[in-house]
Amino acid sequence: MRRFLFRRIAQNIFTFFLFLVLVYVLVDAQPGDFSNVYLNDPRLSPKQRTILRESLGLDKPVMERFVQWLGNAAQGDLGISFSNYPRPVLDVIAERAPRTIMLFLTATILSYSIGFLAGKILAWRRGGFLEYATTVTGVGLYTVFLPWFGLLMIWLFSFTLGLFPIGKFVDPIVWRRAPVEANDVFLRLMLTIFLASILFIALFSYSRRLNPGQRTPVRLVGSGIIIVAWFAYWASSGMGKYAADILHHLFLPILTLTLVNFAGTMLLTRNSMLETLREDYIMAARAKGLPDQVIRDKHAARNALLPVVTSFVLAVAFVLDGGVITETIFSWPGMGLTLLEAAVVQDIPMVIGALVFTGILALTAHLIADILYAFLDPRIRYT
Amino acid sequence: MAEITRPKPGTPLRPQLGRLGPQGEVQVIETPLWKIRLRLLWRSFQSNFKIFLENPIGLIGLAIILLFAFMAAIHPYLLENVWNRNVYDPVIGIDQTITFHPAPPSAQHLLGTDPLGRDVLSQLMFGTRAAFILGILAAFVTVTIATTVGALSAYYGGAIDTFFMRLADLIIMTPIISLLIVMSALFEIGFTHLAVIIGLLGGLGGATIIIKSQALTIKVRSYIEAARVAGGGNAHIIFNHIIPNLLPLSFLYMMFSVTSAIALEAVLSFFGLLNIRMSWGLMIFTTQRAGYLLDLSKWWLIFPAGLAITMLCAAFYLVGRALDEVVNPRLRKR
Amino acid sequence: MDKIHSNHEYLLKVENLTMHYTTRGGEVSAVDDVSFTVRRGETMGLVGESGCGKTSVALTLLKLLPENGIIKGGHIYLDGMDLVKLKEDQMRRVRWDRISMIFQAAMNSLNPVYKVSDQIVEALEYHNEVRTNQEARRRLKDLFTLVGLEHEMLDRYPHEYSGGMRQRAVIAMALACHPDLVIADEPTTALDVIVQDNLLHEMGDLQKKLGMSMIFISHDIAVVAQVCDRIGVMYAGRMIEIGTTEQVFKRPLHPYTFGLMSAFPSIVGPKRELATLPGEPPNLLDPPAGCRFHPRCPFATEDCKRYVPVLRDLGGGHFVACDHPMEASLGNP
Repeated sequence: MRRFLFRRIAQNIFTFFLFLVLVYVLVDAQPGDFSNVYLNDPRLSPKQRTILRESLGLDKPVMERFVQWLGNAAQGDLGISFSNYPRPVLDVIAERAPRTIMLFLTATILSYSIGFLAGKILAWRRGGFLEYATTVTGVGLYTVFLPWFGLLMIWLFSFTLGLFPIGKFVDPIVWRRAPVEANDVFLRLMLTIFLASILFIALFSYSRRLNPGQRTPVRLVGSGIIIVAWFAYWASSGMGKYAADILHHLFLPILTLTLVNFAGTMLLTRNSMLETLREDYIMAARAKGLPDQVIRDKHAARNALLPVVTSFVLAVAFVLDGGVITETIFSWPGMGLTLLEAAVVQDIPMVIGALVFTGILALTAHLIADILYAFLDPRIRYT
Repeated sequence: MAEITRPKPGTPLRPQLGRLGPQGEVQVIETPLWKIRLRLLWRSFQSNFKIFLENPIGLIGLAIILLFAFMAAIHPYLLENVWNRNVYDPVIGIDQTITFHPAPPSAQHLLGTDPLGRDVLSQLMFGTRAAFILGILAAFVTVTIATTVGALSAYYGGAIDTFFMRLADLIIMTPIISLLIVMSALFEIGFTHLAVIIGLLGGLGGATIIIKSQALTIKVRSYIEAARVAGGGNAHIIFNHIIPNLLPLSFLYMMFSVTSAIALEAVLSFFGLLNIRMSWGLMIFTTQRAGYLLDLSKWWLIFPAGLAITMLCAAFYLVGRALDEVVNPRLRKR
Repeated sequence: MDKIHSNHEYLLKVENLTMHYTTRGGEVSAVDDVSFTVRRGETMGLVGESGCGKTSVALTLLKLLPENGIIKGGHIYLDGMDLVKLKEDQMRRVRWDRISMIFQAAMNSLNPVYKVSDQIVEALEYHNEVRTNQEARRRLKDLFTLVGLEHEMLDRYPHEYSGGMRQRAVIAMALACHPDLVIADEPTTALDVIVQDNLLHEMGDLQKKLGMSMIFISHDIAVVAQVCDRIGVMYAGRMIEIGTTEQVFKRPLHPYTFGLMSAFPSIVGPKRELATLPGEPPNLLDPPAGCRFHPRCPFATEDCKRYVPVLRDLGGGHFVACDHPMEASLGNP
C-alpha cells in the first residue's frame, strides 16, 4: 500500500510540473506579450518601451522566464494581480480557494452519495414507471445546459418562491455591523464541518469492532452527539446568524451543482449493480439465508461501487468545470469566477495563479480517488 | 482435384474468390472484392439498425436530431424566399416597425425579438446550423485522431503507447472549460479554430484510451496472425484490419463528442469569449449584456436557446447510448 | 433453529417435485416429478449429463430460484417439514442453518472485497450461532482446522488463496452453521486430479466425523462412485434410477444408466468395447412425450412414446423409471 502511495504521489508531482510548463507556455504564447497592459501607453517612445521590457525581463526566452516564475512561486510569490492591484495573487487565492474547495467537496460528496443510493435502489426494483421516469430525469439533468439550468433554479427558488438569495456570497445588510470578517466565519464553518466529518468516520470505524448487538445504538447515539455539539457550538459563539447567512447563500449553488452531477452516478450505479447482481457470490449470499437488504447493501453495493469510484476519477475535471459555471451564474466569489474575470481582463498573473490552483485541486482529487479505490478493492493494493 | 495455379513471382497478391465448378475446376468469381465488402457492410448495417430500433431511447434521440436538422436545412430557404432578409437575418436583421426591443412573441416574430431587434426564431435556426457544423466537425477530428492514435498505440506499444496514454491522462485531468476560458480570452478564437481545438483535445483524451483497449483486443485475434503470415505489412494490418474493426466504437464516440462540442461552444459563447457571428450561447450572452438575464418576463430571450442546447445535446447523447447497446451486446436488455 | 433429532426415517424426502423456468420461448420443464430420499449421515450422489436438471434440483431444494423459476408442485420434506410451503423469511432461516450448499466453481462464491473470515462470520451471526466476537473467532479457527487451512489465512482476502485453498474455505463456510445437509455441486470439477483426490477423501472424513448428510452432484461417475452411498441418475429433468452405488454400477437397470456406465473405461478388469450413446439430450422447452429417453433408446417401443414410466422399486431399494429395464450385469469393479 505504501509503495502504491509513493508511486502515485510521484506521478502526480511529475504531471503537475508538466501542467505548469504547459500553462505558462500557453499563456505566454498569446499574441503580443503581457507587457502590453503596462506598455501600451502611446506616450512611451519605442526606446523607453524596450528599456522597460528589459527591466521586466520580457526580452528573455520563454523557458528562462518560466524557471524564474517557478522559482518565485516556490517561495510563495505568484506575482501581483493586475485587476486587484495591489493585492498579490497568492493573497487572492488564499481568500477564495477555500470557498471553491468547499463547493467542490460538498457538491461532489452529495451528488455521489445520492446518486449511488438512488442507483442502488433503482437496480433492485427493476422495471415499471419509476425506472423509466428516473432514467429520463437522469438523462435530462446530465445533459442540461448548465448556465440555463442555473438560471432556471434562480428563477424558481429565488424569484418565484423567494426561498433563497439571488447570488453572491453574503447579504451586505446582515453583515453591515458584523464584528467579524466574512472570510473568518467561512473558514470556521469549514473547519467545524471538517472536524464533524472526521468524528463521524471515526465513530463508524470504531463501531465496526463492537459486538453485533451494540453497533447500531452506538452509531445512533454518537451521530446525535456530534450533530448536537456542532449546533451548540455555533449557537453559543455569537456568530450563528452570520454563519447561517453564508450557508443560505451557499445552498442554491450546491444544489445546482449536485443535481447536475448526481444523474451520471445514478445511471452508472444502476448498471454496475445489475452487473454485480449476476455474480456467483450474490447467489452464495442468498444461499446463506441473508436478508435481501444485507445482500444488496453489503455484498452487491460494495462491488458495484468500484466502477463508480473510477468514474469519479474521470469526472473530477467535469465537476470543476461545472463549479466555474455555477460560480459565474450565482456570482459566487470562488476561484472559478476569479479565473473567468481575470481571463476577461487579461490579468495574466491571476490567470496563471488560478490555473495553478485548479491543477492542484484536480490532481489532489484524482489522488484521493485513487487511494479510495485502492482502499475499497483489496485486489489492487499490491500492484 | 482442383488445379491451383501459382501467380508469377513479383506480382502483387490480390485476394480473389473462387468456387468449385461442376467438374471440380476452380472458377474465379468475378465480382470485385469491394462490392462484396460493401454488401456485407450493408447487411450488418441492417441488422444493427434493427437492434438500434428496438430501443426507444435511440429513436427519440434520432427524431430530435432530424427535427433540428430540418430546421437548419430550411432556414436558408426561408431567408431567401419567405422572409424579408433585412428584417429576419439572424445577425444583422432588425425590425424597425416595433419600437421597443426585445419584443414579445407575436404573429410576425414567433419567438419575439432580441435586445438588438433580431428575430429570435431565425437566430435559433441559424444557431442550429452552427451547432451541427461545429459538432460534427469537432467530432470528426476527435474520432480520426482517437482512432489513429489508439490503433497505433495498441499496435506498436512501447514509447509511443506510454507517451499517448500519459498525455491522455493529463488531458482527462484538466478541466477543459477553465483551459478554454483562458485560451479564448487571450487568443482570438473563431469557429473553425474552436472545432479543431475541441477535436484535438477530445481525440487525445479519454476516447483514445478506450479505443486503444479495444484495439488491443483486436490485435490478438487470430485473423491478424493470419494476415501477417499471408505477408501483410504493418500499415496494411493497421488500416485494413484493425481500424475497420474499431469503426463501430469510433462512431459511438462521435456521438458523445458532438454533445460535448456543442455544450463547450455554448458555454464559451455565453461567457462572451468567442468570435462567432451567431450561436445559441451567443444569444444568451447578448441577453446578459443587455441586462435581461434574470428578467423572467422576457423569457423568450433565454428559454428557447437554452432548451435547444439541452435538447440537441441530449439527443446525441441518447443516440450514443442506444448505439452503445449495439456495439456492446452485453448491455442489451435480455 | 433447533436441530432436534426427530424420529423421521429420512432427513430429506423429496416427493414429486416439479419446477419450471418461464422464458421468452415458453416454459422449460427443468425438474419433472422428481422424488428421492436421503437418510441421516448418508451421501447421495446425483449424476447426469449437463443440463439434466441436477443443479436445478439443488437450487429448488434451497428455493434459490431466479425470478422466472416456479415450483409447480411436489413437496420437500426436511425432517417432516415441507419446505415448499414455507414463506421466504422462514426459508431464510432454514438456509445454511439446516441445508447449505457448495456451489459449482466455488471460487466465485467468495466476495472479493471482504476478508474470508468476515464472510463466514456473517452467516454465523445471522443464524445466531455466536454471540460475541470471541465466540466467532473460536468457531472460525475450529472450522479452518477442520478443513485443513492455516489460521493466519482467516484475515486474508479470497484472491490471496490458491484454488484448492479457496475450495476448502468454501467448504468451511458451508459447514459453519453445522447444517444437517450439505449439497455439493461439482465441488471438484475445477481442480486438478491430485487435489481432487485429496479433497474427496477429506470430505468423506469430514462427513463421517460430523454426521451430516450430503448430496453430491457431479457428471463424473468415477468421483461419485468413490464418495457416495447411494446414487440417483437424472435425465432431461427426471429421476430415472436410484440405488446403492453397487447396485447402480454393477447392475444398471435403465438403458441410459447402462450406456453411461459402459462409456467409461476401467483400468482393471477385462477389455471391452466402449459404448456410446447416440443423439443429444432433448430440448426441455418441448420435451418428448412419454419417456424422455425414448428417442435415443435402442430398446424403445411404441408404449414408451406414450406412457411416462414411473419410478418403481425392483427389489432391494433399487428404483428405476423404465418399462423395459436391462437385465445384463456389467463386470465393473
